[in-house]
This record gives sequence, structure tokens and C-alpha cells, in this order.
Amino acid sequence: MNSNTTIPSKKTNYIMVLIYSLVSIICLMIYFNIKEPAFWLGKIEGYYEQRAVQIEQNPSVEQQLQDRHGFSYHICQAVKNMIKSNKLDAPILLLEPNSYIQQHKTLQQGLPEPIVFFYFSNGVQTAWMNSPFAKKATHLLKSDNNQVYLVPIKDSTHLHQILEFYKSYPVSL
Amino acid sequence: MIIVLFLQIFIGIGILRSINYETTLLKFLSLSLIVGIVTISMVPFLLELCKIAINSRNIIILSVAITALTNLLPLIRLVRNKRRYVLLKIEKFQFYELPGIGLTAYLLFISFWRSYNIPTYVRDVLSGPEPIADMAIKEQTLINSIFKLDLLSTNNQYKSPFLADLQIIYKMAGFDFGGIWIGLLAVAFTIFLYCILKEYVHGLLASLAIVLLTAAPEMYAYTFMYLFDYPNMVLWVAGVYFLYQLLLQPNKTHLILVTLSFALATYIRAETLILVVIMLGVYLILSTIKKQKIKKIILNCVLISIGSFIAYYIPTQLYNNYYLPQDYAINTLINDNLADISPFFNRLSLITNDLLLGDTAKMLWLFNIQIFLFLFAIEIVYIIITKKYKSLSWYYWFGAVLVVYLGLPFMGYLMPLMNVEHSTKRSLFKLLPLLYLFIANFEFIKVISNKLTKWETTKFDFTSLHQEAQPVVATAHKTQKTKNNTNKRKK
Repeated sequence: MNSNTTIPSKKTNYIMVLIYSLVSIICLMIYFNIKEPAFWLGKIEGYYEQRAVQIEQNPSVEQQLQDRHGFSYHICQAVKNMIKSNKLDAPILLLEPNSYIQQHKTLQQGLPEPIVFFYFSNGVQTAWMNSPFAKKATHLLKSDNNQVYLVPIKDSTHLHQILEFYKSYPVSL
Repeated sequence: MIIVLFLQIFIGIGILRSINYETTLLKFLSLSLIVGIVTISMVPFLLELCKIAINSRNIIILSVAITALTNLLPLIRLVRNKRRYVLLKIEKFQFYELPGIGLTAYLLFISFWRSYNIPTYVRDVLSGPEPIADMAIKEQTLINSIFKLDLLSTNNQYKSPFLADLQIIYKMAGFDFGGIWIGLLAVAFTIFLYCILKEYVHGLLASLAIVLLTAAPEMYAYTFMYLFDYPNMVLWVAGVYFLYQLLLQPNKTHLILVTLSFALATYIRAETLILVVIMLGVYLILSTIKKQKIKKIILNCVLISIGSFIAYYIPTQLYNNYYLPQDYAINTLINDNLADISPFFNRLSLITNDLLLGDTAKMLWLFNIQIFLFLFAIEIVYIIITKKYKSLSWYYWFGAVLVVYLGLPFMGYLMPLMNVEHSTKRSLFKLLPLLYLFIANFEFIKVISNKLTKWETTKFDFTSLHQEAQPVVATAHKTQKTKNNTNKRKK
């Protein structure tokens, strides 16, 4: 038998296991030190730190929704409170087109679409200007100077005037 | 309601054991959880189809009934034939897999936490499934006040009830934002995929692959932002894997697994039906080359197609057209100028240049695509040099990758509303795991894998070094021995 022959064995060679482990660590370190993966991993580490802060602060569900959705959620809750304080019975609000809001900078951000408005405000119905539901609108949700106002729609003539005024501003998300 | 969450895995175990599927423990449990989550998502939908109120009592009763039904056959087999309920063969792991597994576990831990603790802000969820689920909990029906609103801005109310159903169940179980199920699904899928990769390649390569795949930013984001695309990808990959098993070993278990996986994928996203049909074309060609019986192949294709068609028809046609108060004409979504095929090539070009290569692609997938292309180039050179053209697995996984790569622009050509920057981008989730499964079947990767295994189990023989260190003594001893032997022979 050739004394230089290696004897194959089914037992694990732990030196190779160690070498493989080092190779794995080195490969991962090289990859996650490249610019884009490093940036991304840093972002994920930020999520981990956020977790620690969140556990410490223990925010309520409402606060978390507010933090997550920001302005959209805040405006919907504000409208809900306005309706409650004015004791309005199931109003349908006509939403100004977001193109109008952006052009005239009446709000820092556009309004959410009707279904999202309903979800964020726990039940306030709204309608876009070009929707068949616009005919049923009872109030216009007017915006100005980063605030919103409820303008009652007196009659069908008033509604028609409102729709004509906003006609040149296309509706969008 | 928390009991329903525990029932998920038992439903999955019951289904898999009823069809005699047996495999290693982790792979089995992860697949059971995947199947269980998607099956339980149908409970509120089934209640709605039967016009039964969607409340916790009815959900619990139906979930318990489904669990009992799916576990009946395995229990009978256990009692009568003493057949084991679950195979307790645990996968073997080595120390060198720890760095890859450890980093993947860290990433998944964070996404799991976010799926539990962060409310979704995905527009497609907020403008459809989420409000529907919220109102369904209050009004005990999926067809609720949401459908009385101005829905001109969205069509997400017509999407599969899969997502709304899971939100109903998990919110009723006490999770404020409901989305923890996507975290569970992501963990289960990662374990399942890792076990499959290890079937093909050495653990070192598999552990590196799973990290790279998990660290694809766009796909990672959807492991905690629940939407349809990630769960659809999970079931698609499972279906493609089991279709390959059916190709290798045609039997009822594999056939049912393929049918179930593709049907559940289609239930989640209806247009998956198109990809299923194309994928069956790959199966048909390769089965024919493998000289399997043509009648059997066609029968399998028909059965799988029927399963997927039923999963498409019930939520998309039956439910949308006969239950929902508003019509959704799907035929208006189809391209009415199919003779002009230029949109297909335009989309293919956009997908390749914008979504797969280029700077945007790096933000979406990091270097996953570049790694694949680099290894693919090496593989092409290798198989040209070694003339290893005949691997069935190579052609199958190549076909699977092509089905998604060409199938997505084809779907966009058929349905122009499927935009590139959102729907198609997320549909590309189906491609990434398949790229790694394809790489795992590269010839040169198999060679490297075998070498790694061989070196890992090779015992070094150090005795030859000892002999060379003392040649004079050995030679003298040998010479004396030879003299003695010669003397003995003379005598």
C-alpha cells in the first residue's frame, strides 16, 4: 500500500469545518462591506434600534398609526373630530382634487382617496369630484393655509358651481 | 381565536400526511406552516360563500372542522397500521453553516418584529383588503359598507380575499395590526428553501445563498409589509419544486403537491394561472424527453390546470361577479390588440434594463442578479469545455427561470394595466429563488459541492510524514528484514 495515500473516512474533518466557517465569515464580510449592501444592512440595523426605542416608549395603537401614516391619518382624524363636534349626521364630503392642493399649496400633502379616508377616519364618507357619488355630497372639504374646513353645500346649484370651479383640476391619488 | 393560529400548522401537517408526503422534519414543518396559513385564509371566504356570519365562533368551528378532516386519514393510518405521524428525521447542520444561518436569522427576526408591530402603509392594501377586513370584523361579512363608498380610485376591492381573510383572523386573535402572518410565512419559506438548497449543494454554499437571497431589499421589505406578491412567490416556488419532483418520480403525492401549490398561488394572485400553463409546457417537454407515458403526462397537466383554474374561478369570477354588489369586468383588462406584439418586447426590454440590470436593480436586489449572471457565464464555459449537455435538472431549472423571465412581459402584453414599476417589479420575487435553485444545479457548482463534501470527510494521513523524517532508520530496518527473510528462505 502506498504510504502517501490519504485514507477516506466518513468522519468529519474538523479542520476543514473550521476553514469553511472562516471562508463563510470572510465572504459575508466582503459582501456586506461593499457600498450598497453595507448601506442596506445599516438601514436594517436602524430598524433593530427602532425596535429597542419602541419597546421602551410602548406607544399606543393610535400613536403608531399616527407615526406610520403621518399627515394623511392626522387630517382624517381631524375631520372626524370636526364632524363629531358639529354633530353632523353621516355627511358625505367632497374632496378637493390633489392637483388643486399641490398647485395652490393649500396643504403640505394631498388628501387620501375616499376608501383610505374612510379607513383612517373610522367611517367618514367622501367622494371625488368626478365620481357619481359627488351628487350626494353634503359638504365640501375645503383646504387653505394647511387647514381644512367643512363648507356646507346648500343646494344642487351650489354643488354645480363647486364642480365647475374644480373642473379644470384633474383628480389623482 | 388564538387557537386558530395553532391550528394552522396542524392543518398543514394533516394535508401533507394525508397525501403521504414525508421528508425531513424542518422542511416538513415549514411546508406545513405555509400550507396551513394559506388554507386557514380561506375560512372567512368559505363562510362568506355559504352566507354564514364571519365571527370568532364560526371561524373557530370551521377551522377545527378543517383540522379534524385533514388529520383524519393520518390518524386512522397511525392507529390501524401504526404508520408514523411525522417523520422525526432532523436535518444535519454543520458549524460552517452558522454564519449564514445566523445572519439570515437576524434579518428575519427584524422583519418578523416589524410584521407584528408596524401597521402597513402599502397603498394596495389600504385601498382594499385592510378596510374590508376592518369592516368585516364589525359587520361580520366581507361584503360590507366598503362597497357603498366611492370606489372610483381603486380596484383593490376585487383582489383575492386571501389578504383580507388573514387580517380578519389575526386581528380577531388579538394582533392590533394583524400582519404577523407574513412574518411567519417568510420564516417558514426561508427554512423550506434552505432545506431544498441543501439537497442540491453543500451546506456552505447553501448558507451563503440563503443570506444573499434574504438580503434582496425589495423582497425583504415585503416580508413585513404584507401584500399578495410574497405569499404568491412562496407557493409558486413550492409548486415549481414539486413539479420537478413529479418529473423525477411521477406519483400521486407529488401530483397533489404540485396541484395544491399552484392552485394556492393562483388563489392569491389570479394571473398566476398564465404562468402555471406555461410552466406545464416545460414539464410536458421534459417528461416527453424522459420518455414517460404521454397519456400520463397529459393527464397530470390537465389535473394541475383544473386545480389552478378552480382556484382562479372561485374568487375572481364566482365571488366577484355573483357575490359582490359591483361588477368587475375582467375582459376590459385584456389587451384588445393582441396582433401587435411590440408591447411584449418593450416590456421585456424594460424589465431587463430597468428592473434587473442597472442602478435601480441594485437598489431592488443588491447584487443577486449580477452574481447569477457571473456564475451563469462560468457555467456556460464549463459545459462547453466538458460537454456536459445532458442534465435534466439543468434544463428544468433553466426552463423555470425562463418561464418567469419571459412570462412576466407576456402577462403585461396580455394585461396592459399590469405596470412595470409596481406589479411586474413585485412579480419578479418569483424569479430570485429560482435563480438560486438553478445555480444549485449548475454542473461546476455540483463539482465544487462534491469537492467540499469530500474534503470535509477526508482524513489526512500524517504517517507518511513520519516515515520520510527518519529514512535512514527505516531503510536500515528494511534491509535487515530483507536479509533475514533471505536467510530463512535459504534454510
